[in-house]
Amino acid sequence: MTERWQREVRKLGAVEPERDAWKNLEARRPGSGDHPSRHRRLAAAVVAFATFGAASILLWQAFDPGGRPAADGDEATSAIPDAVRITCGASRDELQTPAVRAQPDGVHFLVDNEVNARGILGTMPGAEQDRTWLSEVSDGDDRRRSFVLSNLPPGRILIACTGPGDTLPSQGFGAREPLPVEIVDVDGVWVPGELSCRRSDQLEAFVQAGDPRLNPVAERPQDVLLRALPGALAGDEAGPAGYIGAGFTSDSGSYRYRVVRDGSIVALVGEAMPAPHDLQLLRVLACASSKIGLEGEPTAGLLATPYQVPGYARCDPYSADCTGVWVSLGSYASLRGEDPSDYGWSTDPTGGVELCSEPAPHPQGCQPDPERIPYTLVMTPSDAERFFGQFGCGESERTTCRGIEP
Amino acid sequence: MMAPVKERAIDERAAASDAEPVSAGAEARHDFERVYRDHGPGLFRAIFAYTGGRRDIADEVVAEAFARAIAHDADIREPVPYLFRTAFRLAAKELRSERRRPASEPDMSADPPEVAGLLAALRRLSPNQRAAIVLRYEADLPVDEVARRMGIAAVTVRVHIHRGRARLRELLGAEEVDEA
Repeated sequence: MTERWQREVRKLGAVEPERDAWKNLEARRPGSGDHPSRHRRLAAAVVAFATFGAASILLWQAFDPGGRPAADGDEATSAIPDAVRITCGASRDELQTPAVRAQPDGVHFLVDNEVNARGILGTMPGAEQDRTWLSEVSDGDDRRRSFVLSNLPPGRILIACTGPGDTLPSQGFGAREPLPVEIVDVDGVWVPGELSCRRSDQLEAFVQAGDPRLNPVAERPQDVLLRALPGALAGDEAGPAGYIGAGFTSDSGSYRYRVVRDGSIVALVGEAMPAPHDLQLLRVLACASSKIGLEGEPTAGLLATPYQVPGYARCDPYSADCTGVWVSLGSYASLRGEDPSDYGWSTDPTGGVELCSEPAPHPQGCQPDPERIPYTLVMTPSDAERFFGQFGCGESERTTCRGIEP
Repeated sequence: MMAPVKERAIDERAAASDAEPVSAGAEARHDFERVYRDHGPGLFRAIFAYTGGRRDIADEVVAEAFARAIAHDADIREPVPYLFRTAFRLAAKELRSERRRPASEPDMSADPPEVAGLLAALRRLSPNQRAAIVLRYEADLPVDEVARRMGIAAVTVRVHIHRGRARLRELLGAEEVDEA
């Protein structure tokens, strides 16, 4: 027996590509009419090399010793390459691009990895806040050349390859000599996301939220987050920060939105991300004087969650007063007639999601206990009362209902 | 305090650049016609689902992924994961660029009638949820292999599957049915 949705999914097996797809595809083979021949590619490479040489000269002329970018419209900017090219060698790294043009989705690196380097370590010297990044070359990379996408802001950075076993970002470059690269925002693809207050005035907060992308009633994420942020004022404006075309990566740790009040950036907000116990949290870095993230009840930012149990409709917090009802994953699965082991938690303690109800790092072999993983349901207050009454739990709103059998 | 930012590396995008192959001119290592016969339709379906039923993008992306794989044959150890990851990335890029363009809505009236309902439901899922569901339940791949082909962590795949499955239950029904 299978569920209806599974049978529907299997119908997709009837969808086939075009009958002559392979023939179309063969037309794209290297050496076919649609692609340059090896001679043409060689010629192109020679031209590219010459262009690169000329561009490098122009580029070095275009930058002063402090590394300031050329003025907009300077012809040198058009010659700035689109990707940082670096070769990770056994004893030293070789940088082919002293400057790079920022792309809409971030800074592109092409890494020729001759020594199984772990990744590229970068720092931004002179920034008020220490900024150090490790852009990892993916595990199991099938290629010696890898593409790395970074959200490094425009400006002068220092980069070096990291060996497979060495250097955490906090340990610096070690024996490697860092190489300077100027990230130039020629096309205006970077939206500044620096708080207007000094670091000593900044506070980090986590605000509970559902994942806006999963919420059927969600509007634009920036609108949702203004609703979610305790302390946000009516006149505050929220919008994306950073690279305008950057995709969402839940593990980037970066802030995706900024909150502007009276022309100053007063808070930065990361999109909702998985958090301990599978709640969704908004990561907030705010100027303390803005009071953002500091006021209100702990659940003030609760949005609708995607979780639901039979017999209890989900409440839309945008149009009604709602109550958060916490149930254990085991109880949630039980109420839905499902097997908790079938859920999206990992038995791999290094899987990156903190699910063992233990402080990280998890001990090897840590097994998650479904009764210690709370989910939040969002119900109307009357439904919540009925739920608490039916299952004899929830002495307070913050108490997780465990051990429920339908 | 240092604030390290772990960023995701995206490997085969090198193939998307204008860079020369690492080992240009090396002998062909893989029989791509056979790879296409064995895996092309499955790859097409995965991208078809990922894009919410966009046959035009799926056709183009699959062809482009194979073209790049053929061009970089000598550098690829395992062509199938390479093809899937490249195709997913190309499709994501295409969807992103479409979002930036003020384009008209794609024509969904051309959906194959037998899967029109499914596609309507899949479009309510995120692209990654769609891909994970289809690779897991249509292609019958284990989670680890789904993760390998999507180029993401297995735990992330599990989350996508869990959420996608819950959504499809709501949209298409959870009651058990006899297999035809």
